[in-house]
Amino acid sequence: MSAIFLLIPLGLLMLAVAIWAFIWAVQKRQFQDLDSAGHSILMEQKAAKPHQSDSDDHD
Amino acid sequence: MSVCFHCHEPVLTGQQFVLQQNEQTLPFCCAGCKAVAETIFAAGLDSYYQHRAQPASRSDAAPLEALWRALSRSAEDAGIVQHHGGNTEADFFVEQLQCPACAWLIERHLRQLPGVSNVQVQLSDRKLTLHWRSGETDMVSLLSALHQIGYQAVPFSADAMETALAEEQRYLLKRLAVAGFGMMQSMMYAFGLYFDSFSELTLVQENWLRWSSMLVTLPVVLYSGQVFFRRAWSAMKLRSVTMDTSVSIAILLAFFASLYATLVQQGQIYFDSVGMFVFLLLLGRFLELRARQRVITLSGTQHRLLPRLIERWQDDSWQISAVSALQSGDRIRIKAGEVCPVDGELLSSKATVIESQITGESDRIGTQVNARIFAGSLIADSAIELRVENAGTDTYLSQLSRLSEQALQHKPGIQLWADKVARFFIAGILLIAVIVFTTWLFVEPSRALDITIAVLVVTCPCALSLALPTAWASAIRFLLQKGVLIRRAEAIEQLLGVTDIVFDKTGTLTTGEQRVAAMVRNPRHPDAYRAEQLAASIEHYSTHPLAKALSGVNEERLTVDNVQEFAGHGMLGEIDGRRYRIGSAEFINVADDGIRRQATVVLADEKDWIASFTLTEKLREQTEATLLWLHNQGYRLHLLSGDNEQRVWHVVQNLPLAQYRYRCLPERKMQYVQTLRKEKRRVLMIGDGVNDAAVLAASDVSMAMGSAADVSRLNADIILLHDQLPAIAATLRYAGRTQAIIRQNLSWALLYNVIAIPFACIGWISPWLAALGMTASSLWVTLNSCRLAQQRQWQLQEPSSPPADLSSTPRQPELKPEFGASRT
Repeated sequence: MSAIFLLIPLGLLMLAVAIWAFIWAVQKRQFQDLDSAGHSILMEQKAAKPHQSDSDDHD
Repeated sequence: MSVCFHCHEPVLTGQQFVLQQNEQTLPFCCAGCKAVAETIFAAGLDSYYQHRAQPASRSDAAPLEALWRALSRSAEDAGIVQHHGGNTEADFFVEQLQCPACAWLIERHLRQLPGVSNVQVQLSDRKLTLHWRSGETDMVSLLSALHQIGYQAVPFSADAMETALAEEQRYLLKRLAVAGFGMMQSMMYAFGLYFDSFSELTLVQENWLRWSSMLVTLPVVLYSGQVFFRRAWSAMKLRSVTMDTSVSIAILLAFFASLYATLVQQGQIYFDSVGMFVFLLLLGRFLELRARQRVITLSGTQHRLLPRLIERWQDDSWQISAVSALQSGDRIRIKAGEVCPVDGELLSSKATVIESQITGESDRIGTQVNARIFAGSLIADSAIELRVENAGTDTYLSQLSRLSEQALQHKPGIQLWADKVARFFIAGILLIAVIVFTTWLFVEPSRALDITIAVLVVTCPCALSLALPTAWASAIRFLLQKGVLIRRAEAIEQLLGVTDIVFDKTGTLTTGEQRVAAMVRNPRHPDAYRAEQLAASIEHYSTHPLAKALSGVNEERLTVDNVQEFAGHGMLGEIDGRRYRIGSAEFINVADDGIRRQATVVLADEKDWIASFTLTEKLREQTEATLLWLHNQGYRLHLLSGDNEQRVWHVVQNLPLAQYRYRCLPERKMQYVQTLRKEKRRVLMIGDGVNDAAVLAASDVSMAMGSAADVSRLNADIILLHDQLPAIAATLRYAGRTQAIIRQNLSWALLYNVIAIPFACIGWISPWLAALGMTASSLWVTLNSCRLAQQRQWQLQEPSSPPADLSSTPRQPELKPEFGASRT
């Protein structure tokens, strides 16, 4: 059972990272619109076939 | 008839606009739609057409360089455009942004443009954020690019309320996350402690787990718990006790009891319960907030704050100017179909306006030169010129808004049943704790603290505090799925006491659309047999609401030549070489008195009348069934309308109303409801227009139709998103169920305490049993609330079934209203 002396601090460290990441995402307003992202992934795939070259050259 | 490939509207122009694509001939209704489709095909974005959920809006608007330049200028002035070095950023509101395919199309098309560095579409808000490099492109060309694919975008800045809500959402979400993570961790540690049945853990390891739990719960209490502490504190400053007080007490109590156990290295810790408790409560708050946010999105408050533009006479020409810049004395021009933004004096010789937003009358009103036109009126047929009298906050419309604000201020504070319970409960707990502590101090001082803590933990108002929010959260979510949006959770409780339901007419019971109710043919006229066809063919060319109803009576239209429209009066047209006229009885000049009185619209040729049509307002679907159900449930139903007696009578004659009033101005409606409330009746008001805002605010609970022009300004407690009247009855019944669940929850919480307290007082309950009981009762309450999300008995039964089936006992049978109506 002495593993908990190592694993709990390790877990807490990961917890801190997770909370930090989540709060960062909230501050970056990634949770503002929860609807369109889910749809857009479908659209992107289907549309990629005909004119991939001339529409993917940005970003 | 074929429909336009782009907007799905009927093609009336034959083969004039077609496009060859993939060996198919695609028809279009207008040059605008064709141009848009061409752009989309040329850019290789045609999969938009396969994936869109809704047809596009018709894009017949010609490119408006001048408008875009004006928009661009006013956006700069209003600070909507932000410059960061060479980069520029601005938000736009896109009216026609409806489905994911639109979002995709806009993103793809704009990204191809030179100078555009980033495109973000927020579908739920219909918002578009663009970043571009200032030297390479500008707002005018971006707006024009959007226009090419059929979208009208307007720069906008979020209003204060929206920003505040978004801020609050982030505030809650962060605290929710911390509570969630903390809860999961401390539960894991608690697992180790609970299941240490073989006592494998050494004391050091046990302490290690306790301290770890404390460490992860500390941020949950200090950071996430803030939400409750703050509100409890402000309630305390007002010397009142609310649910937040009991929540705060529960959190602090459980936390400090656990901290004590950790410090003395024995006894039970409740850190996991604290985490779960905070998390569940915050989740409820978060869901409630999301519901409120949806109202803002749906109602498009952003609209109001758009720099609205209008044509103003300046320097001897018509120039585009912002509405906010208008001053009294300015001369402006308003196009047909637009809403008048100011109060003003008519300069054109004639105008037809619809004032339903202001007066609640559905009639269009023909006015002459020098007449007053109020802000909020819809200009019906042709462009008019106005001299501005009042602009901004001085308009009649703004005065109406102020009236509603005043009414809201005078609304008495609602004393929630649960708050009363909480107050009684907290006082009880504190009293018992003091008595127990002092008694044990005399009996056995060494056990006094332990037992007092056990008593406090057992009586911890966790279950009590969860009873309401969990039930509300479940109910709000369920109702939202059904198209009923609850803006104030308390409204669910208030619905229960309702005795009287007051309806507005236009837009609430009726759709505001017209339908042909009766038709009389002239037996002597040879054309009488095809009167519908003639009327429909000619009226098809008009956009007048009456014409819309008439053009629907026959789908086989004849070819009409030389169509002429006389705004607000009628139309002329030639069919098969003969001239026909259709319009008001005055316009046709019918001799027959009977026809004159009855008819709304008369069809005639050069010599004699052919047929007369009586049009009335279309009732919403299932209006009769819903009202009958409500009536049978013992509610007293009232109708208040701004329309004249005849129109109201047409609508109400078959409805089970106790009372109706016609020609009601907003002030009258408000007085009516206030009188009812003085008679100790509890009033639910259902309305839609801005003219109802005051009366909605004056009632105990209010509902508004989701299609209302400016929902957010109505301040209604509940919004019927799909405009379905049966939802009113279903919501009332659902409110009863919610309240029943809440009562069960509270009874359970109290029962558990009543049983457990005596045992805890005499020291029979060990701390671990107390913790188990506390967790179990909270869980029971939460699960019980989840039952509200079950899909059963939402729809009312068929109107044909006897109403007795719908409810076992009618409410307040002594209040059965009499059919018919009293008139004032």
